[in-house]
Amino acid sequence: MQKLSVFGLIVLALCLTMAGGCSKKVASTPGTDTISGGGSSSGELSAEELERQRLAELQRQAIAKIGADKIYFAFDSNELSQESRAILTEKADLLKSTPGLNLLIEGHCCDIGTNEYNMALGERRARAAYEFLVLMGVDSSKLAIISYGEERPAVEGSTEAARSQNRRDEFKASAN
Amino acid sequence: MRLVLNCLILLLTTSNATANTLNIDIYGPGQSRVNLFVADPLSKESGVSLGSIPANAPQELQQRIHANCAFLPFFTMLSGKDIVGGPNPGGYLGQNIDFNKFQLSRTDIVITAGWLPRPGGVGEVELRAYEVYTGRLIVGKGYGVASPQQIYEVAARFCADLMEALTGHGDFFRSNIAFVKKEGKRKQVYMSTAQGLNIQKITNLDGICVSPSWSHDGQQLVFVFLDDKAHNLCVWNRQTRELQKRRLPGNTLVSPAFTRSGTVAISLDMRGNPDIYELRSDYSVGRVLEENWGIDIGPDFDHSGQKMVFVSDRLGNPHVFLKNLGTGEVSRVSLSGKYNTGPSISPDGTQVVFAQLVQGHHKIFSVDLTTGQERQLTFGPGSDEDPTWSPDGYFVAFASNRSGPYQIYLTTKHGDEPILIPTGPGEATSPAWGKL
Repeated sequence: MQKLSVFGLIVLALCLTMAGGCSKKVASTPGTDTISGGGSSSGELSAEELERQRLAELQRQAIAKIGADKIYFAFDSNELSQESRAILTEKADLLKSTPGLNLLIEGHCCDIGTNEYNMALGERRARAAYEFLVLMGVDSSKLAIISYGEERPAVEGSTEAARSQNRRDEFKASAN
Repeated sequence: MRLVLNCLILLLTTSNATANTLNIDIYGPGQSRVNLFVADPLSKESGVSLGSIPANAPQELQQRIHANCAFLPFFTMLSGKDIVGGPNPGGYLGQNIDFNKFQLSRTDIVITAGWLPRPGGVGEVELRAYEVYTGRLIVGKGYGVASPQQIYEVAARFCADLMEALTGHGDFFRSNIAFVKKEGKRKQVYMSTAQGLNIQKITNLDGICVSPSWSHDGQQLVFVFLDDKAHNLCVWNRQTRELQKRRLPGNTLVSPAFTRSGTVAISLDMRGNPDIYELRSDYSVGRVLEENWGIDIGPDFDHSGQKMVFVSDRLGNPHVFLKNLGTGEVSRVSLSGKYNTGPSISPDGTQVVFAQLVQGHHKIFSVDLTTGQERQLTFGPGSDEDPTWSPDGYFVAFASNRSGPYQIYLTTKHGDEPILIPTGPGEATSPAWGKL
């Protein structure tokens, strides 16, 4: 959309600099002189494009950072540890400082509990992070939660090492 | 598939039970065991060989009846080697059967089959079960078998009638079980008979199906489908085979179940916490069935519709509770342990089964709602989860990894040795028992 409106402005500028009645010709074959003569238009385009690219890069880095750190829970618990709060605070800062981001918080469980109860517990784990982020000033309309219970383990297996990796929240940020 | 199966003749079913006749009380404190022998099939007419009947149907039917009866824990299945003087009964009718040798072999019941070929079909068979010590005919039925695929249904019908004659209930052979099968990263809903026959794949969705549950008339199946973004409520109609998929308010849909009146009860977190709601017939959210600050999930209803069991962590750990929907009174059902989930209430509303976490593994427990007595039903390795009552309130199916990957097993209200229900390759979980 943004590209189209910039292009429209260029076409309009070209039309104004040409004699009346030749707009069709200009639009189809814009002269190089005219384009180079429109220095201010070209400068705006470049700045906007640069800004767009800067924002996209900012978002890309924020999405990667937000998604990199998971938070972990004790068995049958949705309590946020000190470490989890610190991780969530970083995520809150990123969400607030990076415009145009949405976040899906996934709640997961290990396979010790039973499927249905884990589905509810996963919801509680995701909601714990959601409520913390909202308390930290993140716009709740940018946040969504989903529970996968024990259906999507990060690590297969029934060892305590695997299970402790599976009792977690994952964070899937995306640009608007 | 609509099965065209003609029941030709009701030969004779004795109903004048006397004190001397064989009856099995499957609901009593202990159950007697009965020695059962399924005899080889015989031809009804001399000179007509069973070999003229296609698809080895006579032998297949006897093997299927044997396999069916082996699911019933009150039967001890005898083989031909156990019969003194050889397994041939001498005839398929009572007057020709040599009951003496079966008495000597401690046989209580003998099942015979008399076959005739049937032009354009497989054949016609008369099946009979006799009480050996009295010579009494317990059940006698005749069937026309149009195709080899009907063999399992003939066996199921005969076994249902036999079980009903002996115990008063034959629904085990008339009912089916829905369950979830893992296929790669997806999970799909399947159904089969309670003996693991006629396995049908119900869903083919790009995601994870969980928590299937049947309507009380056995015609609809409800479950939750998880895709990459949301939880969806799914309702499958058995007659039309149509699948409805809906979004509901909130983020998390847990453990849907049909109420007695045919509406769906489900746990929703639309107020920030999983509570149990009843949906209207258009699946909009209706009245609250149970609400609390804690997690409230897993509703299941008895046949009267007045009793609802559910799981709540309102006391700090997940426990099973009972709500009288008439009075609103809530009472705690599971009194021991710290993690009790997945309750199922018997159709008559007298028993509740659930899974209790015992030393890192789940085991099936039952509670008698009249006495409050709690009892462990399953033991052994692995975890036993998601118990579900049979329609007759005698069997309990559950998922277990006792032998490796999760499979569906069967025990009884007495805690009989679990029997595997074969459901093919792949993990099978979340059994839900319904009627045929």
